[in-house]
Amino acid sequence: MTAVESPAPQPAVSDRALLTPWLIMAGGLLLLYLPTIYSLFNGLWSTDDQGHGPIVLAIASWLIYKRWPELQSRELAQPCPVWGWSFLVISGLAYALGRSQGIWIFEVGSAIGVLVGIVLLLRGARHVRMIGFALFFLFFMIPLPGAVVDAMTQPMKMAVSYVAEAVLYAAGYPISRTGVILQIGPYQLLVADACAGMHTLFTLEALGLLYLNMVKYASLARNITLAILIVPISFAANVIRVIVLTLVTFYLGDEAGQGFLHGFAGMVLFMSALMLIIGADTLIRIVVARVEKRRAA
Amino acid sequence: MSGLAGLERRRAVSAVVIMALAALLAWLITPTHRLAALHGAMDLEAFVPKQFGDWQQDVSTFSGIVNPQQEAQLKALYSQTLSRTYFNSRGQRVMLSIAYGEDQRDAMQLHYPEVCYPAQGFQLKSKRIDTIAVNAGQIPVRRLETTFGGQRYEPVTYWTVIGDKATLGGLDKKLIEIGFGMKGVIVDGLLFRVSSIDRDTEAAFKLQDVFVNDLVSAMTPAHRLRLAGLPR
Repeated sequence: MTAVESPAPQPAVSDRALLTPWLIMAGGLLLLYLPTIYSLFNGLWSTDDQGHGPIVLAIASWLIYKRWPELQSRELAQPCPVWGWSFLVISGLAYALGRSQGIWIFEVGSAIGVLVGIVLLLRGARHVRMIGFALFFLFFMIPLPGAVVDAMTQPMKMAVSYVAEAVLYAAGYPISRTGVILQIGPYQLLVADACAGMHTLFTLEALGLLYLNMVKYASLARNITLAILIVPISFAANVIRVIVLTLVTFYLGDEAGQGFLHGFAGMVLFMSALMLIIGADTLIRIVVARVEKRRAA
Repeated sequence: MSGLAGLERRRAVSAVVIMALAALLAWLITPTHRLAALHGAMDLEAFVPKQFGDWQQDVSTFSGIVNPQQEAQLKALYSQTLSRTYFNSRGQRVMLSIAYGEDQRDAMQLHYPEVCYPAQGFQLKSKRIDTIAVNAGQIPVRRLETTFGGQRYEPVTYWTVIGDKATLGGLDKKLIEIGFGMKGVIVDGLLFRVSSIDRDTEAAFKLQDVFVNDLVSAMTPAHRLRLAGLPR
C-alpha cells in the first residue's frame, strides 16, 4: 500500500452511488431486449441481408461506451422527467406491439426511444445529444420490412448486375444476364437472391457515416460531399463484390461461390468500400489543399 | 448528493417497472393460435378443382419449377404452392399459381409479382388496381402487364388474402394482420395469381376474369372465403 493509493476507497463509494441507477436501468434494458436479440440471432441476423445487425449493435455500444465518462458526469445535468417518462411509456407500448405482432420496426426501434428516455430521466437533453450519433447509428439495426427494402434496392440490384455483366463481358467471359440472374459458363447466379432484399446499401451508408464521425472534419462542405459520394461508392463496391463472386463461381465452382467464399465476398465488399471512401477522402483533401494554395499565391 | 442519488435510484426502479410491464404486455398479447389450425388445414391440391365449368387442367405441360435453387427458396418462404395450367374448349390457356404461407409476420411475407417478375428478367410495363366481379361478390385485384425479351407478353392478375380478407397489400395488409394478432391469432397469407400469354392485354384480362369467376363459383363457400376472401 502506498500513500497514493490509500485514499482511493473514498471516491469509489460515491462512484457506486453514481453507477447504481444506471445498472438498474441496464437490467430493464436486458429484460426487454435480450429476448429480441435472441430471436434476431436465430432468425434475421443469420441471413445475408441482415448480417450487419450485430456489427451495428457492437459499434453503437462502443460509441456509447466511449462517451461514458461524459455521459455519467452530472455536470450540466438537467433531467427532464416529463419527456423521459413519455419516451419510456410510448417506447414500451411500441415494444409490446412490435414484439407480440412480429413488427421488427417497432420492436427494435423502441430500443432507441427507451435509451433516450433513460438518459432524459437520469441526466437530460444535453447528455442525449452526447450519444446522438450512437442513437442515430442504431437506426441501421432496425430491419425494414422486406417489401420496402425490395422496392428501394431493386433498381440498384438491376444496375449492379448490368454493370457487372458489361465489365465481365468486355473482359471476354462467357456471361449473360436476365434481370438480376447472371449466367456464367455452366453456372447461374442470382444477384442477392431474386426476391430477397439487398441491405448492403444501408450497411455501407452506415459505414461511411461512421467514418465521417470518426475523422470529425470541421468543414461542412467536405462532410456533405463525402456523405453524397458514399452512394456511388457503395454501388461500385457492390459491383466489385458481384464480379468477385462471379469469378469465384466460374473458376472454383458453385460450392465455393455459395459457401465460405460467399462470406469472403462480403468482406471484399466492406474492404473495397472502405478503401474507396478513404481514397475519395484523400482526393478531396488534395483538391482542397491545392485550391487553397492557389488562393494564397 | 445522497438525496440526488436516492432520487435517481427511485426513478431507475420506476423505469424498470415500466419496462417490465411492457415485456409482460408483449407476452400477454402475443398470438398463439394459428388461423390455419382454427379453420382447418389448407390443402391447395384438394381445394382447387382440377376441372370446372369449361376448364380442365392441362396435365401435358409440366408447369413445375425446374430450377433447384429457386425451388429451395420457395419452400423456405411458403408452406404450400400450387402451379397449374388450364385450358377451355376453345383451346385458350390460363396459368394459375397460388402460394400459401402459414405465418405472415415480417420474416415470412408474401413476395409480390411486381417485385419478382422484374427480378427474373421480365419487364413490367404497367400496373393498376381493379376489381373482378364474380357471382359471390367482388375481389380487389392488381393487374400487371409484363413482357419477357419482347417475345413473351404475359398479363398478370393477382390478389392476396390475409386470413380471410382480400387486400391489395401495404398498410392495409399490416392492419389486417394486427387486427387478427390482437385477437391472439397468427394469420396466414395467400397469393393468388392468374396469367396468360397474349399480346392483346385487354382480351387476356377478360379471359382471366372469366376463368376466375368459373373457378371461384366451383368452390365451396368455405374454400372461397380462404382463397378469395369472399364472404360465405
